[in-house]
Amino acid sequence: MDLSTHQPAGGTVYRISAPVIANRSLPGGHRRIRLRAPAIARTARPGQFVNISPPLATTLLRRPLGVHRTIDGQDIEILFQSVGKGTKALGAVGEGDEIDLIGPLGNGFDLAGEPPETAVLVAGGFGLAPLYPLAAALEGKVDRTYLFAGTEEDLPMETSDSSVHLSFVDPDIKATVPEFEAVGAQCRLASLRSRPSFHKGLVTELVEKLLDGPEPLGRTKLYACGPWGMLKKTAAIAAEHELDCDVLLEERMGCGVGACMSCSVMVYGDGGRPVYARACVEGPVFDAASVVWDAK
Amino acid sequence: MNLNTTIAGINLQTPLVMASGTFGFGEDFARFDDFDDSAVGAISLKGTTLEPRLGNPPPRIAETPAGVLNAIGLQNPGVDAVVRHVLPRLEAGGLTTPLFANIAGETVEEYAEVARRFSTAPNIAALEVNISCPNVRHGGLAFGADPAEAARVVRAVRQATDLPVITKLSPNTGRLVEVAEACVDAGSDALSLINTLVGMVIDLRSRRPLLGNQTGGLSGPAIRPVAVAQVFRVYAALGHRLPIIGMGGVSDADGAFEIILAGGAAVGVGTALFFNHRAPREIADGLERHLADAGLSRLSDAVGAAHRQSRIGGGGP
Repeated sequence: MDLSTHQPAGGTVYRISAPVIANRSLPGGHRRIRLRAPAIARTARPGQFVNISPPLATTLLRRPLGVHRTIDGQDIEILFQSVGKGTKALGAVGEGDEIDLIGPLGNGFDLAGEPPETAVLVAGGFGLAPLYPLAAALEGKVDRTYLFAGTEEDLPMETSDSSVHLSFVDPDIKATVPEFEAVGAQCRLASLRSRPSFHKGLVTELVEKLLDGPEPLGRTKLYACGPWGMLKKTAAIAAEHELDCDVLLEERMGCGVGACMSCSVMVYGDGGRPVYARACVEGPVFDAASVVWDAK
Repeated sequence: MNLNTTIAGINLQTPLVMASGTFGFGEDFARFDDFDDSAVGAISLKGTTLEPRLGNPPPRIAETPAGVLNAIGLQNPGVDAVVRHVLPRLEAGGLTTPLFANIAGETVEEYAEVARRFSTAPNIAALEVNISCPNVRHGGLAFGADPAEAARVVRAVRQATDLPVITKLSPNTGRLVEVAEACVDAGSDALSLINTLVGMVIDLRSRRPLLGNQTGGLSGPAIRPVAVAQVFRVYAALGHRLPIIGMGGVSDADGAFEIILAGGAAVGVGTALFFNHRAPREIADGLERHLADAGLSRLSDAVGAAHRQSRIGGGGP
């Protein structure tokens, strides 16, 4: 990655006053909002995000939120947890209200090259949401997709028990995310505390069980989004198994278009020299092998 | 309506200067499908040093009530990369907006050398000498808080270049007017003020300073009255000798007009760009209305008007 001149990057950015089509409440204080934003719905790629101004100027800076789904080239869906001042105000919008947003932003997942035979998606907590459009985009392009999600709280998407048997986990571990199953992904969930149908332990243990298990996987690639520790562990597993791995990093942001240099992530630049890359332009998706994992 | 203004002999089509550090190297905002550069008077490029700088460890930004605290730490690719790669790209792209190279350094000699190298570029209109960055350990504020040190930097840059020299001043000193006078005496052709105010946010969960640099520079609407007051003071002392680019928290035409009335011949727009890339156009349109309301045909008639006893447009006691 040559960042020495901060070559401008990224596609056209649109600013839209997007009417709220629907605002649904989900477990754990999560919300799913559907917005009419055709210019973004037509152009957004999996892993890209929008930068949203919460209503009534609640906050000064916009809030970066992943595009969870695009619908019919018309609408986008965002998923978020109402926790801070901005997301609480955003969660309170009603149908017909308009939301000021810019996007699509960021590089998104690289889907241009030859797809892997097996895609393994690894999510921690809220990191589940931005992986959904990736799973949907991979459907039909890869032979198989797995999703492993770890969480201590409620996930931002509905869960249930799967009827599909997976050979590399115990049969009583069957918690799944139906929305991911609907786009062809085999799912299992993990939690550090005992929860029915969940694997008790780290989500990355499920990844290791798959990679070390009997399933024929072929050329395999990992994709991960979640807390730093989980990403670091996933990157280590990928390195150990000599697999490609993309990580989606969620950082504090300023402008969202690359000007302010606030959302820096330390990566190995030319000649292995550590440099700061911008999560909003060079990211938020990074090759896990390029990230300086000990920088945090 | 005529929004033209002149800073150190450089004609700006509007008084709006995109503030250093908020507009990158002038390319990022062009990604917006509707960015209107006809409202941009000049662009002050990201602060640049002799060698590439890594910048501060993250987190680098935090939101505060009506403000933003940042500590980027002058991350930049170094003057040679900017002169060789970025500036030719801007020229090839047909950008005609005047560019100010914002220069920084840890020593007086470094400032002079960066000035010398920028002076070889065909498309730099002026140098903005940054003696006010609060987020670097060496240089920056160390020069901007002391009149004699500030003068040393400005004199060295003055001798190293034929370009107009603008000095960017810090509000983080009790000696702002003294520093400003010293810079003018040392050969500065214009002043820009204010840079950000030193601040801190403590993360309540970790109970430690949130920013990687611990302290940062406060910008945004919260600091606008501070900027207006400082521009007012410096204009009162030095407005008859050189133009001032006033900045700090301007996000709309009302704020921009306050800065102009206080003495700004031009107005910096910075943090507002982060949440509203249409701010330059909106501000330019609003300034035209303010001038019309005041019965003025030229922007220059409004500069420093708050210092004059008779009120613009009458109506006062």
